[in-house]
Amino acid sequence: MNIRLIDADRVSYLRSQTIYHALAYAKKTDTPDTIVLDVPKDPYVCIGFHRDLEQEVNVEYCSSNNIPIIRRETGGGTVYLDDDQLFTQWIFGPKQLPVKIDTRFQLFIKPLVETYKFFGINAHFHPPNDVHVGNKKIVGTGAAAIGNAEVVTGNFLFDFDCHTMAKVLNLPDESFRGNVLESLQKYMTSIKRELNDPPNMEEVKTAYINNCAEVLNRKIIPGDFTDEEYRMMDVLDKKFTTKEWLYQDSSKKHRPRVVKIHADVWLYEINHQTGGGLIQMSIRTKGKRIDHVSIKGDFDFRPPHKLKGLENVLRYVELSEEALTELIEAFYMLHRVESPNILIKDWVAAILQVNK
Amino acid sequence: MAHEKINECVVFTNLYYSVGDNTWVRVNDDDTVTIGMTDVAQSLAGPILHAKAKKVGVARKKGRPIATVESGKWVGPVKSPVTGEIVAVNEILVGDAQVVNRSPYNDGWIVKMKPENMEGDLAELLTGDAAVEAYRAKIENDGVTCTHIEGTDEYLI
Repeated sequence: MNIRLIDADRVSYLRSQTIYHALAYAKKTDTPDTIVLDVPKDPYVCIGFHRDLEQEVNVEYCSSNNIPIIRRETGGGTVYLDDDQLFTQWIFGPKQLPVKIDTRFQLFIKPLVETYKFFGINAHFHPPNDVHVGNKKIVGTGAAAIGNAEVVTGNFLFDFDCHTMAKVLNLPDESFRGNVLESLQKYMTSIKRELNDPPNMEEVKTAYINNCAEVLNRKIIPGDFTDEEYRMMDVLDKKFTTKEWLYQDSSKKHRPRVVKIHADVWLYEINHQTGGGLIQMSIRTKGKRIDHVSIKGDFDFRPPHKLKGLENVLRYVELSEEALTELIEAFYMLHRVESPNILIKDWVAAILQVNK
Repeated sequence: MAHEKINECVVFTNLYYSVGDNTWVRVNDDDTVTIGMTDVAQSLAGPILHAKAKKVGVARKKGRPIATVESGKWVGPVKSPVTGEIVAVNEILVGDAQVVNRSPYNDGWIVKMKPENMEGDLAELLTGDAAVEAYRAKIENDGVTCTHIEGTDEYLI
């Protein structure tokens, strides 16, 4: 069976989410598998199905800057989306996609990677479900079983507004927000950042559809929505803009302490009470090592300027009890550092909270 | 308890299964049933980050969602294998969704339901050798090999 292509082009922020949900809910056994391409006209924030809105999003900032927030039925975290992103949405019958989620993502990502390569960007699949250029992420994907369909979504990042992304997140303080911004700038990229002469969206769409046809070995024929699909969009437009849907019920009221930059890079805000005072650390991890750390708190550290030295030696250390203990012990001995009532094991316990 | 292992996937012969939706049903003494995801389901999903069941008192028709689970970036429903009312939900899931991966047939159960027509619903599910054979075909056809995370129940490993 051929695949239906719907190029919805520029749509409202709401429709950029409700279209693919509606197609999934309206899907019947004889509905063709469909690929939708669209671009949100207005910027907005989108949170994952199970996420806590107030825990994840700076609702006040979004409200005062007229940035709408919408909850999707696919997984993942909070993302800032705007018209520099071309969305690719597959709404397929369950039997038309691999059963294993990992394999499904590999299939979905292949035409994305091939398209980036076609335009000269050395993109590669980064398991389980991202596309990277070097160590920077250029595509995020999500998937869900919705109605009678399996849905997989992704995007082409023409540009990425790291500043606004860092602002729309609910974070413990401005220092941590600064770390998030720096990490986004360091570990995210876009077509505009990679190419001096970037292609326009129409060129990317054409190349992408050609690559989809080749990867899926099926014909892709332009089509349109059915009346039933339009009706379902109207229903979902209403549902997705209710407070009940957006807020859901949540028992988790604590503020976030973890921000995912991409699959290998995470930021943690840690508070660890010790006999000598509160240790507050902002830690960025890359793989199983510390990539960056900043330390503050109300403890006594002598001499105080050596705290910077401790931050420096902790970079690139493996996140294991043995490696951390050995390194911090050596630092204390070498620099004759004192921290009354804060033991080596307190530092190790504080840092290893990232493994929880 | 008697069970079969197919490509590392455990299938208990005393449970009832909706093989298509990858759910199991255990019949309790009080006219209720306990429902959960199978070992195959937890393996296909991968480590589960969130599991949210519908509320107690909610009536569900067979095939309708009784919970949603999220693993990595995939979200999907757990579909009810019976028609009836949810009488209990597994509160452990709220704080520790990966219990579904570690113990899909015991601590990781999803909901308990009171079926409207227990006999009729069970008749449409598979159990015993029929369930094992159906899973053998499905597992081989889909090329599934079950994987188990650290802390998994011993009988699964």
